[in-house]
Amino acid sequence: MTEPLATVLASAFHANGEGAPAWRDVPADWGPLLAARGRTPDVDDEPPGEDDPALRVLGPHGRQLGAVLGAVHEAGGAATLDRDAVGLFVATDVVDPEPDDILPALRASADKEGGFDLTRFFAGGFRSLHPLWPLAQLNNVAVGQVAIDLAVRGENAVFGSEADAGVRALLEAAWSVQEGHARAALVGATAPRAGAFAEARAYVEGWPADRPLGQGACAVLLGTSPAPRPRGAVSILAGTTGHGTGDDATAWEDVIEHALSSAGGPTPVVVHAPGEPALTEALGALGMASIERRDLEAGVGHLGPASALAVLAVLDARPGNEPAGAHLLLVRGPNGGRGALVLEVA
Amino acid sequence: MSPRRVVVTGLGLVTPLGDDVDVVFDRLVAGDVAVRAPRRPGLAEHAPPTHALAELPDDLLERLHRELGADAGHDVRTLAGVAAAEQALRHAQLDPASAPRLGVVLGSGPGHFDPARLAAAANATFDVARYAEGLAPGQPESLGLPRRAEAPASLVARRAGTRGPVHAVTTACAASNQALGIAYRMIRRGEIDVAVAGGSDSMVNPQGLVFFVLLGASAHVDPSDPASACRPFDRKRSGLVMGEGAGCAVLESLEHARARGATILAEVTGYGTTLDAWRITAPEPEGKGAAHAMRAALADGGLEPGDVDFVNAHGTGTKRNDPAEVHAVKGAFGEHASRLAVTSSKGALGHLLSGAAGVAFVACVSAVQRQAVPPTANLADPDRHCDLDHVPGTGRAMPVRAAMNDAFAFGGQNACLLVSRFEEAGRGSKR
Repeated sequence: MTEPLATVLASAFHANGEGAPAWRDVPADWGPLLAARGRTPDVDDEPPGEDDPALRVLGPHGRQLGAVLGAVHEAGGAATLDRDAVGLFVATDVVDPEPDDILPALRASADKEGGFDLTRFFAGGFRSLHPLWPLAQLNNVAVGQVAIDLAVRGENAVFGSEADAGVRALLEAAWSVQEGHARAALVGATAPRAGAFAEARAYVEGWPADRPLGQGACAVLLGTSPAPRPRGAVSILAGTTGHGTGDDATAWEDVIEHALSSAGGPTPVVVHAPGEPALTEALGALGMASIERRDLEAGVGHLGPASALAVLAVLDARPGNEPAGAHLLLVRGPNGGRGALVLEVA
Repeated sequence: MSPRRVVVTGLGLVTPLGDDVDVVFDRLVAGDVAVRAPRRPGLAEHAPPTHALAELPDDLLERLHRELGADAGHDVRTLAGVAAAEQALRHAQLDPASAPRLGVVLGSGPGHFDPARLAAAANATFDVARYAEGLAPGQPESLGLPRRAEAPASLVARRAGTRGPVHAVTTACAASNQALGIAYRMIRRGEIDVAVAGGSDSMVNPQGLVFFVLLGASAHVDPSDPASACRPFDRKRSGLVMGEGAGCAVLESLEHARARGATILAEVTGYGTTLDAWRITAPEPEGKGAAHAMRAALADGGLEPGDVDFVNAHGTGTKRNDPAEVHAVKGAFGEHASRLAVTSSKGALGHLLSGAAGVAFVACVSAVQRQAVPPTANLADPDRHCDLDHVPGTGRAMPVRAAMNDAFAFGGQNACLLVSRFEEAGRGSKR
């Protein structure tokens, strides 16, 4: 087994239960996730006032993201490091406009029949949009605001918007630490926000109705692995992402084989993965059918870019309770993006 | 084991000055400007509040729709991104089927909503049932919502049948440089052998045409001379002008390129990215974050400031960006800053936003290949705070051993890439 790229120093999770019924039915395995109150910061989900530009550019997803990143930043001691040496890597879901933000402009641009009139929109209807509204549509601006709030100035990237984006954010952060570009790296991700737009998007993208959407935000702080690693410490050994189409077992096999070979070939003791048939077929083909499997999504819904971080947060929240050894973490998004991380629980 | 060297073997462009890499570079060097009054059918006749744009030529856009529209729909960001990526793969003479773990990493903008579609669902309050009426599974555009940021990258992968990593980098104006930098790192550490990377964007749509007007960042436009609207480093600069398009490159490990007999165009020799952590809408005025990114890129590749001859500046033509960037160049390059050519192409091409650095990267590769640099269009009266060699008028033939590509975003993300002339001995790779 290879040396870890980086180790989880702190983790945080925020779940906004309202409008996300899947959260009410969390399996016992995942109970500690919600019970880890010390790691679930409060998030002000009220719409920001006109006079608070920082909150406005964050948007709802950014306020969740800021809360969890702030929590791990504080808990992990990142604030004590040279801020130029702290990285910030984030995966965000697509930022859809909030209906309440755009409806005034649409109404101000209506013709006599109530239809949309582009000439009226250009002539002044668009002025009913808040002047900072454009910034709230940019995935990176919320991240920039978090960087300002935490005074973090190191390596960074923002990935969108599927489940494998969260794996890529974790990998780039881990490599940044391992290669010495950053002393520590904050990694955050936001999950789909339940609501009309998210549900409609899931529908047209063909997302399976039996895999409900969850919502929330997760964050971890990655740093150099302490030696010896304390019992329960969660480290990233290796990982990769890959692309397939539809129910593509071969694409799963490619990603899993690549991740395991990069990690030196440890046999996982637990596979964290969604319960889809193609993956079952792939694990069978790779001789891993008998390995224990856990499905986060069965309990908390599909967390999109935050899926991988949620698993790390859960593992980190229960040190000593998870089986030691290699854990294989697998995620998939609606457009074919797959991600695999090989974790080590000490 | 030493990190692998990463070389450039293919280029692709879709720009307001055309989609032939050599022709576009020639036109840039000649000082051509693509900025005009808006003319896109369906928008221009409605008198948009943006009065100058660098739009894709009509015939080019029609061709993209004809060749890719069945897969890409009407999203110009996706059309341009896919076209530039596939052009780069063809230029590299790389059959994606021979490289199944080819990575695709593209910077991509936020997309845009369709106000007419959403307005149809809007009544006294937002009516979810009305909104959902008529939605068609598998047809994201029926939503009226933005396409996902990874739409261009996913489509490149699907059309090529690749199985490697596919990612969208969503750091707005820094996105393409970060995409290229991330692909470079993925190859350098051995996760993949080859990638197509860069980025695309278009905001020539109802949402985009009010975006920078709301933010107060659009250039003031003289209706009689829209081509002069964007004036990087000029005393009379007043803001940015939007462009649209894409720029992509095929990056691969030197070993992979040699094994397949590829023509090597240049070498990627450093990447640095930082955060300003200062203001969302303004760069840190001393350019500290940008200078840190430049120094990180130099250190990453083991280059000294004196190894670089050309900086392809972010140079938006806004009041705050340009002097901050000049400060940054001086901070990172020291005394050598006065010997650099520091130019911006945004006066000619507009600001291609998430695609800007992809196009600028292609220009950097062309500069080290062709030993010439493009000028800064519309620079007539240099700002006294922008006192480097910004090459006004037309371009210049000059030795270009290495070029730095700058990209800075709203939000404070800074990303700098270095590209050097390829030398077998690896002068640009002192790692």
